[in-house]
Amino acid sequence: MGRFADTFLNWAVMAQYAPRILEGTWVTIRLALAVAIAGIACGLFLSVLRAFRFRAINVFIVFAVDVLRALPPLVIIIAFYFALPALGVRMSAWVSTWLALSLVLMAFSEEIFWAGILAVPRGQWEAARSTGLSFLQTRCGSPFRRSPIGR
Amino acid sequence: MILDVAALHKAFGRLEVLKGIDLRVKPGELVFVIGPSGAGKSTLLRCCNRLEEPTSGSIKVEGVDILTPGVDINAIRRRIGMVFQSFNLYPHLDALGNVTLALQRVLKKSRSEAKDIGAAALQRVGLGEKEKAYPNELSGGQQQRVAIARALALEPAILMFDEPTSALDPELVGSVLNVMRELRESGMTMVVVSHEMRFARSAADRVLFMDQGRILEEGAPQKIFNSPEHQRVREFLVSIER
Repeated sequence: MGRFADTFLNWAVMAQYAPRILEGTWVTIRLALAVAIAGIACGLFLSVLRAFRFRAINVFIVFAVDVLRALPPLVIIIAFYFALPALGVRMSAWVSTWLALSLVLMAFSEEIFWAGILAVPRGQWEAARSTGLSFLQTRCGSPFRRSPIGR
Repeated sequence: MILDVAALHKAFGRLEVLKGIDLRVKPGELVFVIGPSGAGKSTLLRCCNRLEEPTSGSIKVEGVDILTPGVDINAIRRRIGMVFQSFNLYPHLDALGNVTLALQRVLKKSRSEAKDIGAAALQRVGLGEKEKAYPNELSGGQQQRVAIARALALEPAILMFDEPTSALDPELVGSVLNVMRELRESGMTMVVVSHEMRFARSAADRVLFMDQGRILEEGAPQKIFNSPEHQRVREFLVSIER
């Protein structure tokens, strides 16, 4: 029991590292906020872009989103931080983590918004279009309210 | 002419749905379009505000050719009110919200101004006290009248009805037809695709019979219903009288 307490409940060691853990927590919070904002914004943008149904663009979007959703985020983070410098692209730890996680969230949120766009019955688009709402007005207003994120 | 359609063709792939339609609608006129299903009636209406892209031909609304490249189709669309068979209300907005959405977003009216116009439009279709009701709280007839109010609020030059009563229970049809009759009396120009023959007899200025993408016969309701020239029209009328 003494060794257990020494290893896991060592108050002296905890006190020594507590400030650094708090520092780390703060980094995590800031990073999470930055990732959420960038990831969701880019995902919404991509889903609306996809709604225009330009074939060449959509092939690219679907491919990129599928790859980003399939790869483990850790692999992307490591690739950005350790592999990209070999290609001459250097990022700080913070930026590479933010970029990698934002891209992953972008991919997932794009799919969520896209599901929202598909979920709106065709007749509603037509009603909106026939009252003079523009393409963007019809595509941007509804998906956000109807997708699982917006609700 | 409010609406001037000439030599309109529409094909979906190899299927020709409209094979040269000519239709001119004068201000204040109520044109009734009948015909068997698959005749192209809905497609004709939907081409008139480019929900479907016509393959060839010309469509002029208030003298403006809506098929010219670069034409502001959104500006033209709000001059053409559209009422659908399935109402197509926005389920997340209440009745007033459905009516005022385009007023605020398209015509850029202030919230209070849009509210006044929207309330007046709902009043006009007899739903003044249903402003706060959501579509799923309204009967089919009431939903369709909200849809009519939504179109009316934009002060369109012409209203198009695509089988407005086909999705309604029989006892609710009357309320919608009454609104349409009142609109006609107030001088609204309308094109109506419908199977409500009794309404056509009493309210229409002109009846078109469409079959297989063409207008087979047209004329005053008395003529079409009582002494049609074509055997095809007679058969159709008999088949729907039951």
